[in-house]
Amino acid sequence: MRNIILFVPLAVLFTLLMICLLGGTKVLRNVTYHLGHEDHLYTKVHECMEMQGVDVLFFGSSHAYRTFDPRIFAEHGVRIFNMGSSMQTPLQTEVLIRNYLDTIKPRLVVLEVHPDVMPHDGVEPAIYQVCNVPPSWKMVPMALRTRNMRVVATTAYALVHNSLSSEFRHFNEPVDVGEDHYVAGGYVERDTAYYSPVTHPSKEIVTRDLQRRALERCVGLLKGKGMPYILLEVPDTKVLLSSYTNLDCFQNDMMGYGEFYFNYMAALDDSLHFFNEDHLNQRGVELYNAYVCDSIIIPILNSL
Amino acid sequence: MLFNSLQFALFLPVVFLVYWLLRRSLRWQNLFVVAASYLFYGWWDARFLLLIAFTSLCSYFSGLAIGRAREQGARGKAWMWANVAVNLLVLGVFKYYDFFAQSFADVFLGGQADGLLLHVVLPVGISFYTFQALSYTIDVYKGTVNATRDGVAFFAYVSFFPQLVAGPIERASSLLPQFERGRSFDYALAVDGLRQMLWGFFKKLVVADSCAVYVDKVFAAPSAYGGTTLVVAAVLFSFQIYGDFSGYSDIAIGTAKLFGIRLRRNFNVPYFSRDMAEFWRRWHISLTTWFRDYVYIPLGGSRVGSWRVVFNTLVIFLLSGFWHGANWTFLAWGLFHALLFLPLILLHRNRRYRDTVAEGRRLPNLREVGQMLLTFLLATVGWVIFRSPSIGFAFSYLGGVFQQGEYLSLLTNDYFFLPAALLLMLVVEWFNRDGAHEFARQPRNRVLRWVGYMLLIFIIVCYMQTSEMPFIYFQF
Repeated sequence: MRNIILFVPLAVLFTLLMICLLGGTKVLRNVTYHLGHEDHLYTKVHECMEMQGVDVLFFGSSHAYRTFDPRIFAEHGVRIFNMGSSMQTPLQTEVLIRNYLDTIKPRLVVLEVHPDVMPHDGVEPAIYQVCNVPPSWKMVPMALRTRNMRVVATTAYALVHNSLSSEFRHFNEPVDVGEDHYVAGGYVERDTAYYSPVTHPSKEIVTRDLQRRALERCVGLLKGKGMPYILLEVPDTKVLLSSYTNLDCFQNDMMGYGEFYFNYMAALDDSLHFFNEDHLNQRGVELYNAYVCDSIIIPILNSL
Repeated sequence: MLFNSLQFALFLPVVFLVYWLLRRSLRWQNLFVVAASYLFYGWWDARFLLLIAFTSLCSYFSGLAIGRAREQGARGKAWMWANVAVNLLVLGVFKYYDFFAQSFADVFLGGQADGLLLHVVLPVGISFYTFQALSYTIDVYKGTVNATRDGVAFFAYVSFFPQLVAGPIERASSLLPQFERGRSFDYALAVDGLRQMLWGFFKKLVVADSCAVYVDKVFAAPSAYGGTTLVVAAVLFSFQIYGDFSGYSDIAIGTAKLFGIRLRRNFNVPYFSRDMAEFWRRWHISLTTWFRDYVYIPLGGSRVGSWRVVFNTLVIFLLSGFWHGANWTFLAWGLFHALLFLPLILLHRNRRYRDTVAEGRRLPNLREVGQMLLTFLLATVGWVIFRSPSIGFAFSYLGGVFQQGEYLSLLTNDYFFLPAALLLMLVVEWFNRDGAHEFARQPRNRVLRWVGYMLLIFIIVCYMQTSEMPFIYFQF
């Protein structure tokens, strides 16, 4: 029995060692380390360390970082920072809140929630996060909660690699990636394009318990710190919204987590203000940001 | 609960610890086995616990009734048949009723079967535990096993969680006595069990699940691909079903060893067989021998006239095919194997290869290589029929093998390691082909042995398929 007890930690150490040694060679299928991503998360987490006087901090998926433009908010006298990242689910938001909320010290937090994100398994966004965010043990529970060996193995490699390697410290993420352009403050602007609406098959929103629990923890963290927060659902095209069979249930569900805004501007048009089914183009962003700023954010900031 | 789930990783150590803490009381230990097994099974759908309890109760009381009848000089035939009928009725309703109703509607009602179908969910592993319960009653009737009065031990025999949902299908003569007597922890047996589990996990998580990604893609739209891809997918399915089912059996047998219970071997390197008769002695051994002992031999076996031998062979292969599921493809698969087996049995060549290939030698000769490749090829054609949703699909798939079209490369990120994993599996199993199981032989040097285990764990962690895939045989 003593041998078995000795073998288990040795096997764990051996596996970790091999992952660290071979993880960079790309031959290990379940170690998918990649520095840099279209969401510019690497740039954001470094930039946010120097941010001061932030009024509003946004968390969420691409619907957040492609929607809330710091330049437009600044025109209305509001300073924002956008911490959105690709497919960021509440699991990843929790890590970012734990790591950066106390540094940024915003006056208000906005949690962007989306019907396509709450059912997500959180695997891909977990991998983007562990590769691009400075190593922290707080990522380990998040990785384990995904119950996915690819996330666990990549996390093990990323924690060691990002701690020891100069590649991570000196990485220079390009500002332009394809059609995307990074804007200081966490926004990613897409070259103007227009969406041709198509009918979508019906789909039911089935929120994962994993994400529900993570959202509860996020809200608990914010409440614990006395941080004012709201939940916000950004606009989608009408063709996409009409495809959800239980959007009302989803929205009722989100209301249970705090003050929830899901006001779709009637002025937004599927073919004029979106570049795809669920992302506003710059024309849409300008309209929507002005609306959100004036009718939601400024009144809340004034009431604090 | 799946063996390849986090729940099982937590369940097993807890059950292991409590089980051995209860070792002083056999009754409590067996009661705990039943409780743990019901929890394991109920994790999937608690409603079907009633079904397994019903099957166990019927078999237990019919065993007692047969035993009492024998004490009074009778044979208890009515009790035996009554229990067989009840068990087969349950199996028939849950597994086959909708198939027959739909087939009836297709022939006589123009396919309109809405009012006839029950649409019941197929309980996981129903064929396995029903056959295990049946074998007890038949063995009591035949006098090869005494009717047990220990109800707890009997319930443990029917529901023992490692082999409950996909076998090996145990016999009362082998498993029941193990629950009727006290067990002591055997360190060497437990270590061998862990070793066998490790190999099973490798075969399931790395080999079978990775093959499944390629196979599912090709079988979803075979007409989109050329012959080479169809051949590769068929070969990979042969390895997928082997890795999946023999991997499950290895995990089940290995897990049972942790509890001091020895289960029968279910696979014995079937792809190293030199003809189809040898293949069937090495593939799903517990089912093959079940049909041999309870159907084939009572029908007269091969000690009857030629026509009767043909009939008996067809019966067991068709039954074996139909046991897998309510679909014409399984019957066609059984018929295909019967047609391959019949020439061997009629020419009395079905017992030619009762030894292990290349016995006493490191490598096979050319003739043996050819025989093994041919047997594998024939088995693979059979697997295409088995995997197909319909017989028409199977014919079109096999016809597509000779056509040109798109090639789905194995040299992409998803599959590049697969040939190496298959090679590793074949090499390890080749050198263990006459061992107690496929990972039994290990270096004597402890450092080498441990490094080998650690490398295997590392390979599993870094190459396992990360989406949870259920075992193929759970549906049977």
